[in-house]
Amino acid sequence: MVTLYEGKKYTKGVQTADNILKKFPNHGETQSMKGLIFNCMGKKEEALELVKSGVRNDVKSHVCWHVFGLIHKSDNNFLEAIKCYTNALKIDENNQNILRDLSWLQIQVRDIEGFVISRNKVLESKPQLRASWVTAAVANYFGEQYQVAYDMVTKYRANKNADKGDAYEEGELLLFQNKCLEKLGKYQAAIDHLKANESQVTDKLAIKIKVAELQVLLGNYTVGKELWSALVASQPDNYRFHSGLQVAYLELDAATSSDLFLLKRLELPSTVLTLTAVQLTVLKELYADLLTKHKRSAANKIVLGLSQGAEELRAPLDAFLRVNLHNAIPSLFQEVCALIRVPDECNASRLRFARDVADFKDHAVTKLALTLVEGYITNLRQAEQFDASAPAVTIEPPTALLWALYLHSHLREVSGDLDGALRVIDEAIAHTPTAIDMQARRARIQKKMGDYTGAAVTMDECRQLDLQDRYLNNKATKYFLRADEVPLAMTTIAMFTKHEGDPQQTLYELQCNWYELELAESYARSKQWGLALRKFFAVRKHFVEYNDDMFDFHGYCMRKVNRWS
Amino acid sequence: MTCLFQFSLTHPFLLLVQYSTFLLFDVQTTIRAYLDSINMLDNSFTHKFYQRALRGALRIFLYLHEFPEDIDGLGHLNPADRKKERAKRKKAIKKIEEKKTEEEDDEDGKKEEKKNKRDAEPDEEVFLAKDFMAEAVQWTSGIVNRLHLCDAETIALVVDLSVRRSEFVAAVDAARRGLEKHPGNAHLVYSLVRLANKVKSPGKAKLGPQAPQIRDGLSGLLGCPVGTIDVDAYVAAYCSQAVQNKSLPQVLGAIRCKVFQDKAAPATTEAVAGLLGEAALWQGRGVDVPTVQETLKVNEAQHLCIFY
Repeated sequence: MVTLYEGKKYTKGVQTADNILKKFPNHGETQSMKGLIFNCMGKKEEALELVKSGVRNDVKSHVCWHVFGLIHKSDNNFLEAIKCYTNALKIDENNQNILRDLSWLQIQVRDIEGFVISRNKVLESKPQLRASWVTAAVANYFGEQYQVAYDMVTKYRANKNADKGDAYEEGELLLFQNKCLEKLGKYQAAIDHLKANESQVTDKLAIKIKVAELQVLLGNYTVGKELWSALVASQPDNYRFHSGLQVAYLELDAATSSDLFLLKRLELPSTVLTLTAVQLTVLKELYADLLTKHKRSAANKIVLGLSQGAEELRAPLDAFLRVNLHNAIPSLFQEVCALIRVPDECNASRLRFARDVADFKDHAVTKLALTLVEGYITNLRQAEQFDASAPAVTIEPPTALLWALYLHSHLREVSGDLDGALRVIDEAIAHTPTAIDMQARRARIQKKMGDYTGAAVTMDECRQLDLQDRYLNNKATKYFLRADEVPLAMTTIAMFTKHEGDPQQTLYELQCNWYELELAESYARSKQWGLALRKFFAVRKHFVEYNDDMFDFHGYCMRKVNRWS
Repeated sequence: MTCLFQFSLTHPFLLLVQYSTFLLFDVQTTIRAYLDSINMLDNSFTHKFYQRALRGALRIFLYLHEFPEDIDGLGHLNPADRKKERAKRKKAIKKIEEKKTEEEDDEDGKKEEKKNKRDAEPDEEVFLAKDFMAEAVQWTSGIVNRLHLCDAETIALVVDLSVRRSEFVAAVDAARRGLEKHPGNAHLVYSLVRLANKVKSPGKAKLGPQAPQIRDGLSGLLGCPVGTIDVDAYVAAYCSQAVQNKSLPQVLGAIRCKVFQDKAAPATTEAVAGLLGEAALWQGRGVDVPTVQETLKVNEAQHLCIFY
């Protein structure tokens, strides 16, 4: 029966089971196997009945408990499945299949203690398999037994009888081993480990980054500076490398350095810390040097943030804005925004980027940027140049005025002057009626003013400027939903779903969370509680599925590392 | 495959799908990637999309628990009109369903339709028939141990839910964790004020043997001497802080707290007028003073059904 089940010959399997059950109607294992086959055939209720009956009739059979566990597992009922597998193991404690399956269930429900025990048992019985070693080491890592995990990798590498992976996988294993040392706080040992095994690790960049981090954490700033400088030279636009470089030059303590290595996006030590005059001088010298080597790198933007006060910033910001407006850079506001920082309420020693109108409104950088941009607009209108008093040889392209208006509108919007922002963006639209960004900005301003219907109309007009743009289609849909125009939103989004079937069903199957959330909130605003809950539950279901889907990966990932055995 | 990569840029969880695609195409997997994916999924229920869905669902659960007569959105009508409207709706639904059945019968490929129906979302009535409080607990089960990763608004709703379920120790703990992460947040402060008020008022809450622990916890959060709960002093201090910080959310929170404490008192009217006076705060946010005043008229429980 097991062969028939594994070969997916379900009809034959059921026939065989029936033949056995004719002679032995209470044979538990046969009932369980029949139930398992039924489960695969989609007869869930009959399957569960049969399996339960099988367990009742033969409670001391590991097969019955294993099958019961399989049924629960197929329903994603992992906790119940663990109970069944544990019962099966009480009867047949060395059953490798059950032990292995149990371990995947344990990691799925994050029963780390159980996972460690199960994987250690698997390792004891199958020490010749690479997967046994690797998974046991990973289990101990999850259990925060970093030294044990480290030792396991060492033992595995010394074990000549165990299978070995290819060069890449062995390198990854070494990096994992190194991570254990780092977790133990043995930074020097971690550096030595990386140096000793450098030739065996394929991911050379990972080694360079890790060594640079560890050197800084150890307080070896001179070496750290060299290493981070080399990394910045290789990727001068990588903000994480700039972060490391700044940490090294600022010579911060290990705890602060570890925190700063985790910064994200445009955050840098120079943007989140309140630096002293000495520290600022150090960084200014560093970036003055970097700018000579990498003229078109992120250093251009980072150096602006090192200016103290609006007056010092005026000249560099002026030059920066002119270049970027000349080149028609739509994201220019984001760069200006990165210069506007306020004290972080959650952490007194830190600064954060401005978020609220109150943050932007009276900020010296906002005022400076507004003054500069207003000056450009006046001059561009009059003389098609940024500075009418010192005319350049060539005139600026018409896009310079357009993007200056766009930036001006954006600055007014975040400063709370929505009427002013709307006036400016209208001028930009009059300048170039087909510019999508201008229309989208107008819709956003209208939305902020509380005119949801007007915003939706503007965004729809914007969408019609490029009917093949999915982003605009989604934006228009979102704006319709904010205006509670559900039927219009549904029609709009349907333009980009499959042609056959119900578009709503397609979006549900695609797990389109943003749409379902907006739709649910729209229903809730109109007190259609049932429909709103239906959509909120759909989002929840997607998240549960993401987690449940991971179940297959535990075994898959670990099997994968054993593929060459 | 390209399509999946594009999606994964906007949808972090599709990285998993992308990951599996890598495996199918025999690209190397690494232990580091596996550890990262486990870490990512551990925090998946604190993702902003889940939190938004959670907040939406919790608001409805709490609102319908408080106002069950509004389950079909007709709570604002008087009983007679409500009955009439319900009968009217029932008739209309029946008509639509009959029409649908007729159309289905006419169409070919019934099997295909049936198959689609099985995979579809359940009907809306299924969700309204659920036990709201039990469902709310299920929703929050994924985040209760990870509140430090959640938004202030989410934590405030967790506090509200705990209060409704008379789990005051859990409510105090959630409020404490929330305010540690988001000090002075308007949503959390409002939830704390309502919690403290309930605990303070005799007969409103059954605290049981954990009463001293709850009271001491609240004293700490409100900044009062141990064992005392002075909500008025806390609200007054918060109002001053809001004005000083020039923060619109905090001013709104302060107004809500003031109104909640005592709507009728002349001192409240005066204090609210003072808070509203800072016109510069409102400008440019699509909010004007009459709108705020209108909002304040909404009674205490109905704040739950305001969707932004």
